[in-house]
Amino acid sequence: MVLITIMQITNFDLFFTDTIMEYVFDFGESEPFSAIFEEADFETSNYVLLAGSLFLIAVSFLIYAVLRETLLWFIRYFDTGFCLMEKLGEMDYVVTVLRFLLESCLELSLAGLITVVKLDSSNWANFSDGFSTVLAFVNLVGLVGAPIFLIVQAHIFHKYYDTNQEVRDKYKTLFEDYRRRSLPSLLYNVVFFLRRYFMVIILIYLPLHKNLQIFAQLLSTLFVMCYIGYVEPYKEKARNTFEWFNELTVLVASYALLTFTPWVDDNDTRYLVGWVMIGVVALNMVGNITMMLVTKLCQAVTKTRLWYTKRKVKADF
Amino acid sequence: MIVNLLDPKFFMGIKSRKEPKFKENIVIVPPQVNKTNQESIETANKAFRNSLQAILAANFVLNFLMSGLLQYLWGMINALQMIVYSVLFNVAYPPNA
Repeated sequence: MVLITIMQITNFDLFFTDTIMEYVFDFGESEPFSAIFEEADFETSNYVLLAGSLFLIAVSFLIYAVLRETLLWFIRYFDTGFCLMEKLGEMDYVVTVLRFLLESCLELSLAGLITVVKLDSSNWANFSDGFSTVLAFVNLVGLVGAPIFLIVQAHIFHKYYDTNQEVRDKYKTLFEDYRRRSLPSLLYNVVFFLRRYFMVIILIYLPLHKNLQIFAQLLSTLFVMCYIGYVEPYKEKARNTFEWFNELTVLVASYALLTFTPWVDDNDTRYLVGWVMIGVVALNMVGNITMMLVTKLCQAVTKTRLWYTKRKVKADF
Repeated sequence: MIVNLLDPKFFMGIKSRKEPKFKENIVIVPPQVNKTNQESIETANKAFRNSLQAILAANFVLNFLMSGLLQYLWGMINALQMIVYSVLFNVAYPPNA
């Protein structure tokens, strides 16, 4: 299936995780959540195996952060190698972790909830299984904490931005893309998280209610579209428009799901709608990649023009 | 280490008790460590160099991923996630999708 292949890309499932996991851990057998999940490559209820590449990325980032901070400590302690410090630049760990959670919250919350729902004695059979289960609970706490953290930070940023320089510096990178005068704009990421949690809860606790699943998807997409249209969270108009376009593609793909229920009996119609769905996904990809390239090209042209003007002014004097 | 001698007259050979002859008043002093220690230092140096390379490479990748240029890529991935996770709904997908 095309969508399952794309799912591997959107989940950043790019490494040979199974081989690496087998080498490091000794997991026991665990049952998949359901037959549908098994078909979509969710063949286990083990958290670490379900998280796959995301777990490896998180561990790599942790090692990187420890090495980086040790190196910076050495530079400060021995008062040498400041050119290296400049080369490393600044790193906002909060923003990086939040970006990681935003991109992976769907898979991580699904993996965590599956492990918790299917919890039994096999989850504590050996050290590897126990570690995976504990990690699932820690992950769920982190994922619940992330939107709460964002609500508090957005509130502080909105309230004290004009009066407190410290607040301005601290949250500069966290909310730099959003319209800082509008609190709903700053809370856009919270809506982003909650919508995905809503989808995951529906998938796990109402796995057989197909119509409810589709309508939950449709209504949540419509809500986000209204939110983007009314609040316009981003500073750049083009970005708001493209965010709205992305949601539109999700809405069209969700409407297509209605034909995959017993409501439509004809297999030819389903097959045709399947192509429509692939077309919508392709349109989304082409649109975003084109926009990315156009933005980069515009930036390059502006920079070249600036460089040329500076050179001309220098030559004139 | 290279030592540049300003006045070589102050030096005397241990056995010959004569003033040694230096080429351009430069003496190359070998590292004042034994072989085992030198090997350990070289191993540590190699490990440090590899770690530094790894940190710089990871730093470059992270800065690239966090840059504003990729905002449309993240937008695309977020939208695609919502579409592709609908394969977990209890519906009968056609074989082509």
